[in-house]
Amino acid sequence: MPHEPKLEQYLANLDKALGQIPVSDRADIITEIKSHILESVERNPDQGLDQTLAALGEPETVANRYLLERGLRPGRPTKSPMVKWLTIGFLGTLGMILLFLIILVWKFSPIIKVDEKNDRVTILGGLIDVNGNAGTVRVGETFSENDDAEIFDGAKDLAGTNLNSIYMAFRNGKLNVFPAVDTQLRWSCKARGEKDKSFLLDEGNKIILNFAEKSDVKCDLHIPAGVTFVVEGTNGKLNFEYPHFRIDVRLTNGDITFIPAKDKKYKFDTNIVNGKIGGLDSSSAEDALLVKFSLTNGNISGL
Amino acid sequence: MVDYLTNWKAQIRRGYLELCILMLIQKYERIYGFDLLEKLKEIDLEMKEGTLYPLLNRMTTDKVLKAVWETENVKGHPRKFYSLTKEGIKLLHEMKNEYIRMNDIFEKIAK
Repeated sequence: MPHEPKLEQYLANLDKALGQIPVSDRADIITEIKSHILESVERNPDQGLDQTLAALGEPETVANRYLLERGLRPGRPTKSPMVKWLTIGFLGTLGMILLFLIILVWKFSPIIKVDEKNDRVTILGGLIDVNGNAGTVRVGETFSENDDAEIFDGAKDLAGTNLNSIYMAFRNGKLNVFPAVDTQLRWSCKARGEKDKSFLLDEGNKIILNFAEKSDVKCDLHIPAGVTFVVEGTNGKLNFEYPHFRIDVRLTNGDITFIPAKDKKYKFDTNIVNGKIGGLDSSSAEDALLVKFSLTNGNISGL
Repeated sequence: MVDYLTNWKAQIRRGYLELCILMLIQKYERIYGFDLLEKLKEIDLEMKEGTLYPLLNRMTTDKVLKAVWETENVKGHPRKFYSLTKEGIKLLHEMKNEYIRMNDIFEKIAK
């Protein structure tokens, strides 16, 4: 075994770990350990070098024994190569994620800005801009006006039907939701997109107002009492005034304002990832109307 | 309890091992590390090589043992032979007496 790389590496590591011991003593120790290894491999050819080295122990552990016997402070036990590389890998990944987050925050900060006065929500540093006053939604560089918007108006009487929920789906827009004074569901919307009848789906026990294919939706809705009003949208501003129906809102980015009716109690179930919630008084009364708001980025405020 | 016993065994073994190693070296007059490990194994006093070599190294620095590298009459690699120094022989004598004294006490109590 003239120049076995594993043996040489072992002896090199041992030499390094013996650092505090004078060089001539170190050379003596290395020669003796090498002699032991060669003798062991020679006498037990079936055992092999790997097993001989394993029986000796990690070079750092052996070195520490030499240091301890001489009353010297042993070096810190070094981690096994596996642990070392895992640590490097873990820290490297963590560093990259951190760098990515810093770039994200730097490029898109502030994540969300709500301008109450001007009725405006800016998300991801202006990447998405929902302007309530102007009724416009801007995503990226595309800016749209509602000038060439189509009008979708209509009503449906829910009296005598077994209808219990109304769904509203949209991508970008603003909804003003009011209680209906009678049993009529009324919608008055402006949106960009093809003017067709497919936006309204009547499935017997539920009505779906599907504006998911349209953009820049602006709607005034009058919802009759007793139903559940479900909203699913991406970016939006929602105003609820004096609702006497149950609500279930799932929104990615946006701003929700809630004005409670004086004679109604509400049980709120809110979930918001980035943003704040304020001014909602939840009741545990049995007749309280369930109001669910689930929002990723934005604000929910009760008045 | 297991920890207590392990700890106690390690303590009593340390001095005892040193005594046995010195006695073995005296018995064979001169012996090298690998051979000494084998002899220890034969008498059921196994010791890790990573423990023995540092111990021999310390005993040499303390002038209890002297070491000579030998390449003659051995094929291949050189071997480091250990033998007792004069001081080592005196020390071993004292150590044996101490052990016998301790063993007598043990016998007296155990009687």
